[in-house]
Amino acid sequence: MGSMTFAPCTPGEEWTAAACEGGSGGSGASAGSGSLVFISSATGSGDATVEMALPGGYIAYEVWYWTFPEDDDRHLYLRFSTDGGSTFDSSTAAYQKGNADHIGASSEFYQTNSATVITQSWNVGNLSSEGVQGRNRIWFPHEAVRTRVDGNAFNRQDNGNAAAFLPFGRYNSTADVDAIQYLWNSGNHGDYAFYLFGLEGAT
Amino acid sequence: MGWVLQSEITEPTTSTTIDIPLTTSGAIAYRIDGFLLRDNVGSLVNWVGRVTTDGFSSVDSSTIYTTLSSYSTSTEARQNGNLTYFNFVNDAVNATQGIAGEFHYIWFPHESGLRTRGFGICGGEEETFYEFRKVHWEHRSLTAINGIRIFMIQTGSPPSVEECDLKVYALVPS
Repeated sequence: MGSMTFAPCTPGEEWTAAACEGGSGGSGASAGSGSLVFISSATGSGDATVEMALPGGYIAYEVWYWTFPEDDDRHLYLRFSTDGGSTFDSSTAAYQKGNADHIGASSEFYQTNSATVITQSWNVGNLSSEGVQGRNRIWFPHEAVRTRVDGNAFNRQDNGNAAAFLPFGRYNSTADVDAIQYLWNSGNHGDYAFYLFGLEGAT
Repeated sequence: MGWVLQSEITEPTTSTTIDIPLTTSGAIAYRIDGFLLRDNVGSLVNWVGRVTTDGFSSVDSSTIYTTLSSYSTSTEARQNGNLTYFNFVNDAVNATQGIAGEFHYIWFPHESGLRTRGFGICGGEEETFYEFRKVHWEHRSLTAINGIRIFMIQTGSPPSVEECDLKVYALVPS
């Protein structure tokens, strides 16, 4: 890799590897690659699930979100679809998941090799001062490899604890993942907003 | 649009503070990349921050911030609640090595009705090792913010900001 540069992207200009890291840049990216492109958003309230299609043409995706559970003390889950969002895989051992969490003044780590969801955050409170804000990165869902995901979330739990999560997981299938779904372990989303971006590969 | 470069900050606002406006129309989040250096005076410091809701006419110095932090060189995890600042880069930084504050994110600062929350993984050079620190912080108010002031805390007079080079990117969903 070449040396990292901090120039010459100018204020107000969209970040691209070509514009902001000197064209081919340190990673050998071609023009247009490396950009995070807005795809879609989902906002609302009172829905059981939030579902977003992952259109082709991107190598990875980011989701930025905030959401409140309608009911107190709920866990936020992520699931994948391989049929355009008609169904979302909830089969036994569909996923492997783990988390490095930091709740109050303690931290812990766990990994589960057989899961029906990838947990993003848990024990989330439903007050306006609580809820969760987070980000997920979904890696190479369209390649014939296991789709992997990591994330980062901060919430207030139902008992008022501040809680940070670094969730990670994978889909145990190598099928093309073309949609994602966020849901609580039970009950609906209260107010929510989810924003989906795609990471452009070499063009 | 994705990530849009809002500004580059290469000079401190005063000898001891750096103001970072968060003012891109339509942005849902921000990312701050870059590095900070302090002068070689005194002992260890924390780089901390406060938020403004009025474009730096004032900054919120009430006991309204919570920070969760942990370290690559320790199993210790901390929660610092009810402080008058959040820990932008937590814990001591030795006098001359400075820090590289890589990838600090601020979630939904303009969304009134939500608490503004932030996340960062920051590397710090110590004399004998390199450590990274993970911090999450929260401003426990539902009021939208439009800027962050970074400064240092230390017993006695804080050291000066010797050098800074920060890139502020806005994430715009359009």
